[in-house]
Amino acid sequence: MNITTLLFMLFLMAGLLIYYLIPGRFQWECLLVLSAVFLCAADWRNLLYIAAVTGISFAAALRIEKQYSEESLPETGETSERRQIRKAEKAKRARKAKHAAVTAVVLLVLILVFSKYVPEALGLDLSKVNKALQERWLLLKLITPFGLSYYLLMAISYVLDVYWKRDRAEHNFLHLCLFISYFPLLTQGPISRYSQLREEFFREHGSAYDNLKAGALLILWGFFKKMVIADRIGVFVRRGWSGRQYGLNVVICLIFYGIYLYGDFSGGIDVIRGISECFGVKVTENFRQPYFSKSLGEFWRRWHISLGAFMKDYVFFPLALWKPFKVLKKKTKKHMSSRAAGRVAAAVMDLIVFLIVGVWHGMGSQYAGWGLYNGVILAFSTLMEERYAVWKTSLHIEESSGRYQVFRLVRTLLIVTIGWVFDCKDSAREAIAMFFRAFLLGRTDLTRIFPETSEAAFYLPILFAACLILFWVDLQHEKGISLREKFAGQSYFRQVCVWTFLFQAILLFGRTVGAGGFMYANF
Amino acid sequence: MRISEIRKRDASGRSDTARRKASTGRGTFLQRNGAGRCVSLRKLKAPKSRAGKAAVLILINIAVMLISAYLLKQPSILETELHEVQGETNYDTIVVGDSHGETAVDPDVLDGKLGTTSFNCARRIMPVKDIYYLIREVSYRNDPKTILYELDPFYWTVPGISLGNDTSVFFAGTDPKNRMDYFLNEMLQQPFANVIADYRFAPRNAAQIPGTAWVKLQPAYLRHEDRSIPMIMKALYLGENYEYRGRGFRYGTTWSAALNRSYSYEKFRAKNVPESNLEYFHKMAEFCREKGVRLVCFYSALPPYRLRNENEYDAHDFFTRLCAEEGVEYYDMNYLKADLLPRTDYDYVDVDGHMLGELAERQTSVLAEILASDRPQMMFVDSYDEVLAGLPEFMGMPGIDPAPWEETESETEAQTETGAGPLEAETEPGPETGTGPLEAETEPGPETGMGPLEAETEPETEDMGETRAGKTG
Repeated sequence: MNITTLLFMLFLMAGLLIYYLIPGRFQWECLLVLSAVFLCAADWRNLLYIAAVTGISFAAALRIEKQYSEESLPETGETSERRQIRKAEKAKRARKAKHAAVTAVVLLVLILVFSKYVPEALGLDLSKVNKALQERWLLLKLITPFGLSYYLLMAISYVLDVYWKRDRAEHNFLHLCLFISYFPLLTQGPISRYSQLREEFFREHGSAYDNLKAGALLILWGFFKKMVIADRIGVFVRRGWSGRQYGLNVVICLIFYGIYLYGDFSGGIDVIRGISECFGVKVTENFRQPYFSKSLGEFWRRWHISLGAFMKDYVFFPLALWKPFKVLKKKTKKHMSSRAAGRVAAAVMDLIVFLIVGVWHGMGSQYAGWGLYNGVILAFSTLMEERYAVWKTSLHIEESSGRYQVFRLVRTLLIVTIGWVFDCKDSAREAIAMFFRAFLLGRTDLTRIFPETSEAAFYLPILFAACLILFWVDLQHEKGISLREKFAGQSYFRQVCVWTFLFQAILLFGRTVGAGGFMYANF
Repeated sequence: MRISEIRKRDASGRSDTARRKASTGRGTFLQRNGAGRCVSLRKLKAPKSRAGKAAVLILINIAVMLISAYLLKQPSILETELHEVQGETNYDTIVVGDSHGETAVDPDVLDGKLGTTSFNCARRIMPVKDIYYLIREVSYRNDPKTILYELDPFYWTVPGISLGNDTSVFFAGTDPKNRMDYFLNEMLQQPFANVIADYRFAPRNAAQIPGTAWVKLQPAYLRHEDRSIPMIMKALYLGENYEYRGRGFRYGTTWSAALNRSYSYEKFRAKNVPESNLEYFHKMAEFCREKGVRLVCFYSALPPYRLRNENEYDAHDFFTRLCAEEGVEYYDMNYLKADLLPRTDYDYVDVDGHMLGELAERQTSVLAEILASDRPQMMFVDSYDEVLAGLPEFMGMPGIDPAPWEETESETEAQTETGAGPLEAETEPGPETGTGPLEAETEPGPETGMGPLEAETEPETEDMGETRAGKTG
């Protein structure tokens, strides 16, 4: 069920009605049922995946917790022999816990690999495979599980959190099931932690009016970004990618793509957050004005925050504590200072993490290329950190000066925008070729993106105005102004004007050819 | 406080700026109350209850939507036609299809030859799904014996439905059950904005506002009378090259050079036909079988230029096979023996294939003979080579390249970039194309790629941009 459809809107309204009509203690069960209905609308077999993923995480977490709970505590006046036995027992239990965690994570990753990557790598046409399968076994059907990339990471984070004692194991299977299958998050995240959502799911959800008002405004703003900005600019982006572009055409396509992706992804996340807030469940933010970042590292801490945080907590840090990395650090220490050795290790980990992030998006070489591009730049800047400081001193550059900040902002924008080239092509080779064609300025032909039609002349100013609104809103947030709070303090009729403007703008301008669902729903 | 500022204050202590604001209301949202005094929105009393606040917000938005719909939603020719079809006369032969069918079959000629009572319900922007519901709609209070379906390959690659135009079966229809099914099966799956607001704010719609607003107030339109159709055509700028001749037939009057310049071509690829369209065609065949209706599919004859340059043979093979599978008659008028329907590119309003009235009458006459014949196959040639052999020499047309798609840059590039040889490129769309046929689909937009001249001077192009975005640009 695409969340832009009328069907979803009706489903949401019916769901909210039931949710606020039933007693508060049954609300989480209502969410669970709604999630099941949402998944069944795509294919009932999705429930099997949810059950499998929940089952694995649930069992693993309980087993891990059992190992920890059975650890005996040191006694006063303990003999050395007894202490040794206790330590050996503790080590054995730790091994068992580790074994449970590793088994669960491996199983979960295998589900992801076999459901998402293997069919992609083999180029399987699932509709044809299913046709053949169903001729023999009617109920057998291979599906691409809906939202698997997101809820699988959530399940992994839960198991590891229990293993690392950051969270306690859930003893109610259905509670965990709700966390894994919570329907707003299935479309495109954000990848949430159980420790964050547990409180949200099972607390009192306050007044329906306030929740609905806050949620609906966020939904409208999300759809504004998606339908009025992303879908509209997407028309030009698609036209740009539909043939071979040169010179400024490539530059414009990349800039437009950056806006398109931001509008689409952050708009989608706002819609999801809004839907969730309507149910009184606040989910984590996934974007924090990324285009105001002053370094690539900062950009990725502000863009798809939940994925970045997942990678940091569950890939980067474990890697840092991994033996081979410790060995690497030791060896490099022999040739350089301890700090420099740390940087080398961090640079290698950056590279690996971004490669994993790239591959998480898909199997194509363009994804790996995108990961490597970002990883290499980050690794390089980590390695060069000391040298940069020296250069800045010798060039008398003041870190806090406005000009330098603007330079950093533009530099980051440039690096990020160039990186989008990997998103826009079907292989890394094509992307690189496209990048080099940007230098053939003489072959620029803007009519290939902006046809000389009255339609283009009509829509470009609308698009520009919508982008200005987006920029203004982001700027306010960057300044630390909460527009939602400010908005809530406005007079009723001013609020009505804003609501009406957003809603009518979506109806009037949010209609474009080729517009579909959210891009990140495909991952 | 400076002296100059104190002087500027009046007796009540208000500054100049404050007085100006009070008198003009500048800086606030203004409205005039009944007595003609200015009041600001800030002073308007908000409803006290939460339900009241929500209700006012909803009512304001509904009012804006109604006004927008009145001004921007195109008046519907299909709605008027469907009311006529459901009227007292029983039409035993109904033509369905898209704009090609609308301009290609003259009910008068058909009736003259076959003694039938026919009606042409073909309209622009008719994806396959809509055709199914249209067939159900025309069978509501009517008892058709034959349904002639002009199937245009372009719409077969469109998975969507018609929304935002004047041809939505839901908004134009009269059969409650059919409309409900259409809503449940199709409209629910559409973006919510497109369904709840069946209008769009585009340059063409903005330009049509005066005509649209005027037509919607006409008693003839409100009563769904036949004579309102020419008014609607004029309001939608469809009347430039056509005349309305009654019973749904749009008679092409003049050949248009400007329309040709905006024509571009989307290769027909069977693999781009969505599964859902095949299912709907199956439903159509089933429905007609159940009702005892003779379903006849035909492909209206295209201009020689298109036959020479496009892969119409692929479309022919695809539809011949499909119709055979469903047990439905299929006649590809492009494969008629040359002497049965001689024509040049100048027998059309445009190179896209909308016929001039004279050719439409001749084609209808041949179609009637086919329908009446026991051995219609005798009237057709077997191979595409024979089709090409029967075509006249290319006479040249302003704005038209003699062989435009043989070496277009984009196609060559697609092949080079994907590393696909010519054969692969023919069977597999290059990944670079990005826009599937459906992206060119039912909705217009800047992506129609119309040249400025066509868009501004040839209103029909705008319409066609809407209907055949992929083809017109």
